[in-house]
Amino acid sequence: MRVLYWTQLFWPYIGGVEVLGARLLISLRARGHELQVVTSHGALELPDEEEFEGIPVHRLPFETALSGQDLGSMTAALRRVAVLKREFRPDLTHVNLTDASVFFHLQTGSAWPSRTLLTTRVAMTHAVAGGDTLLGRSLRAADWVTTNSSAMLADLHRLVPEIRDRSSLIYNGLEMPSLEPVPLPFDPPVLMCLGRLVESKGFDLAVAAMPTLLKEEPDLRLVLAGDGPVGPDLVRQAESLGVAEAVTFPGWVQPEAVAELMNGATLVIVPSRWPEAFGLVALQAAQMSRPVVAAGVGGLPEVVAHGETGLIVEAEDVQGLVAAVRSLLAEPEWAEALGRKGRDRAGELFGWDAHVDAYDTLYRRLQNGGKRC
Amino acid sequence: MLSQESRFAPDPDECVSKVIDGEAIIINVTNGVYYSMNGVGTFIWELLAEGHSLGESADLVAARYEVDRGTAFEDLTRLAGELVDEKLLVLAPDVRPGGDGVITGDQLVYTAPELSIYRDMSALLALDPPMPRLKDTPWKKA
Repeated sequence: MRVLYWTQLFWPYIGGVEVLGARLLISLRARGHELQVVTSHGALELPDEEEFEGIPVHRLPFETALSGQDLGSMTAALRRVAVLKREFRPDLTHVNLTDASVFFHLQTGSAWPSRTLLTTRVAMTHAVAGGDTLLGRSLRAADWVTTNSSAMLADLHRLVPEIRDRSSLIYNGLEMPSLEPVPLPFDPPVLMCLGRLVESKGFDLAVAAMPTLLKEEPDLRLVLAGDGPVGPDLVRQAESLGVAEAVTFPGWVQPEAVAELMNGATLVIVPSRWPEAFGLVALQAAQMSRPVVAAGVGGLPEVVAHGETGLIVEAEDVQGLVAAVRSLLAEPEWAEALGRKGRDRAGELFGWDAHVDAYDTLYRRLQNGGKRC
Repeated sequence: MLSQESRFAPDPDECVSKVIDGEAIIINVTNGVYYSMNGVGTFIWELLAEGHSLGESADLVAARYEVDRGTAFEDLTRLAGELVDEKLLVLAPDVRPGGDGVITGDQLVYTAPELSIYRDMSALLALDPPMPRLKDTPWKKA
């Protein structure tokens, strides 16, 4: 079947959503689906038309047209989308709802009437979704809605109760890295945070825990891997707390280098303030048998089984974070056991084939049936 | 209270609009709210924005679409009230249309005019941008 895959950003962007989306398309194409991508340029100067692994990618200036209230650019984008739909004639448009570009899909509904699958991958905890909102109209107009954690599904049902019978959970999945996990290092122990350096990720909470932890583990190291606007703030925080020598900033990490990075960690910390829809880093850590200490927000308590694969602490609770890290470092055998269980569970619950199977099956059901599958 | 004689003009300080392939898109530039209208709504928007009164517009809608004038007037009055409430139109009793709005050709199927409102456009545009400072990421330099 022909599927128009709609996403805010796509390759060569390498955030979690983008990497997952690109891999999903390659796997779905291998199962016989014909795919094209509609996306935005983002912050980079990228061609309007390109191919990714043989899949046509169409980039349009959705965000600049909308944020600039530029009716001329909107007109051009709407006409281009309409032509694209008429030429490709998709059976299904799969929209990843993370931004306002879905407006262009709704406005070109008459150009080619395909079914719409809408996937949300960001927290909607504080969103409003009335009939006079783009979010609400998009959700109500969709033939099916998926999200990637039970917490997010509950949020969606609270926002728009009428989609209960046409929505479902599809957990994120990842292929198991080819690199084998190594034993957890304890000499010295290494704490790892990985992700964008933005306030919502809460990496400052891990830095704030270091003075207390260093009193008991003087050789302890904290690695904050990633890039983002609060990087300089985190450096200053580490300096002001007198822990700068124990905190390192390796910068942006390529997706293919994550497994090796994880092998250098004793514990992985995910101290997010923002309700992560899922928490891919926690899954990447589990795949490499790393126990995870995570904030109990969004989908994280589903990815990290408290007491089985890691420990869940209250969000923004530095003392809770200290206690959790301290308990795991004090019992290496327990930490190793949690890590091993995490890897087993990652394969069972969050495997790649199961993720692709779920979308492949849903695509075919939507092609063959009505809204109520 | 709106009547057959009520006339309107787009509020030049509050909104910009464009009809794109038969569908009107209107933006309240003050608060960032977006609006769109279906085909009948767009036809009505154009009539009202040109200065036709509600009564004149009802005649023209009934001539162009398969709808009786009474229904057309009711729907027009409702839509005009919404557009005034949203500060997209203002009452303008002295405006007059440039032409007489002659309708020719076969009548079209009528669908009640609908104003779609997107109050959260600004919030969605600001929703968790995936890659801040992307231009500075090492892979870009490589």
